[in-house]
Amino acid sequence: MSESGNPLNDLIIGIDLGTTNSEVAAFVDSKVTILSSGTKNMVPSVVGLSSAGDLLVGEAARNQLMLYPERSVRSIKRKMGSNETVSLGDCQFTPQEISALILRELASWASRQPGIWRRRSSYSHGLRSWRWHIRCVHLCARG
Amino acid sequence: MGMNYSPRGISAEERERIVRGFETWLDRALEDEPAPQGLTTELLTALRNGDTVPPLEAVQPGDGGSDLYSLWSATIALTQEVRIQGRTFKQLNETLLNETLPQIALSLEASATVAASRSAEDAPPEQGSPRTQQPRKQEIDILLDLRDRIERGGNTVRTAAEELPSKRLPRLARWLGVGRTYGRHTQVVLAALSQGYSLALDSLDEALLACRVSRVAAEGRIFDPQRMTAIDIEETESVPEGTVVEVYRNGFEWNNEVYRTAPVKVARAAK
Repeated sequence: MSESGNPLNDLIIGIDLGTTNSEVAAFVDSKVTILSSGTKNMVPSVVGLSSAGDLLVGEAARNQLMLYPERSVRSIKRKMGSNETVSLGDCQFTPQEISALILRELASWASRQPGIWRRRSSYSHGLRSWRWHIRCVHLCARG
Repeated sequence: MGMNYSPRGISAEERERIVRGFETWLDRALEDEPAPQGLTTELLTALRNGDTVPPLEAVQPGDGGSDLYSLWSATIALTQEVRIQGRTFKQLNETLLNETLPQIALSLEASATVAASRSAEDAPPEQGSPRTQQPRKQEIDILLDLRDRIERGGNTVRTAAEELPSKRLPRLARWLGVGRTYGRHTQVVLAALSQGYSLALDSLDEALLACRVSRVAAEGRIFDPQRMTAIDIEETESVPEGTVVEVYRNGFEWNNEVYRTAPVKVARAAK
């Protein structure tokens, strides 16, 4: 609930964590707006490490997917809820940690939008249980 | 002020004297004022003389006045009317706040946007102002598409010119003995075409640069995932791993941000 007491004036950030692409939208003043960064309004759900060791999230990671498949992770949503880990370079990551990186990228998009700030956020995806849902939210907030 | 006027501290004689004084003052004050309207002459005379007030008689309807029943009926009707008016006013107020005012605000906002865009269109372009020179995304897309087509055309002509000497001339040209002339003429035509494509390409590149669109240099450079997309791999040891060996389509930056990545073939060490 907003300070004014009117729920319609409250700002809600919704994140769609998809298998291939992810998006973020904001509900402000009774209107839904898909948030964008530059000319792009969705992030490929891919995380990678460049040859220089830099962390890549989104399009840049997808661009090097064919060249460095051992340093790129995609379709991580399919492994959410399992105990399987994925390797990114020399490090091992859980699916939740990889998802958190994508969510953090989307959250940074939202924070860069003029007039939009984080008050409340929700995200939707086909998680297997609420336990994982809560853990993902914690990771998202921690990241 | 500051004195204690406790009723217990006043004697009966003192109290009587104060009341009499007040009555005398009241009589003196009312002498100059006109008598209140609506009172009968008998009642007024009795009040002036201090006589016993005659009993009030109910006025019958139709006598020009109104009875107590009519008065109460009118009062109740008036109360109902005020209540209905109050409710209507409240509803009107809520409608204005929740529906009409937001609509008016939206209309005003839309009008302001239209007015701003019109004034921007009508205003003369300022020298060196980046905002007035800022092209739209659709225009950039059209220019880039045109550039791609011209570049493909130029590449085709150049390839044809390179392959011409090795090609067999048409049988009729050979039979007539004009094969060499025919080949030379074709080469001249292809060279002119290639030059035409190059000039058009240069002109387009200048137009794109004026729009702050610049080409991403990729060939021979180390693969940059921010600006290039690896769509093919060549296993080779002739160049360092990660070097771009072929560019399938040029990438572009707009206002120093990646607008279109360049699909490339990248060298990778043979396994």
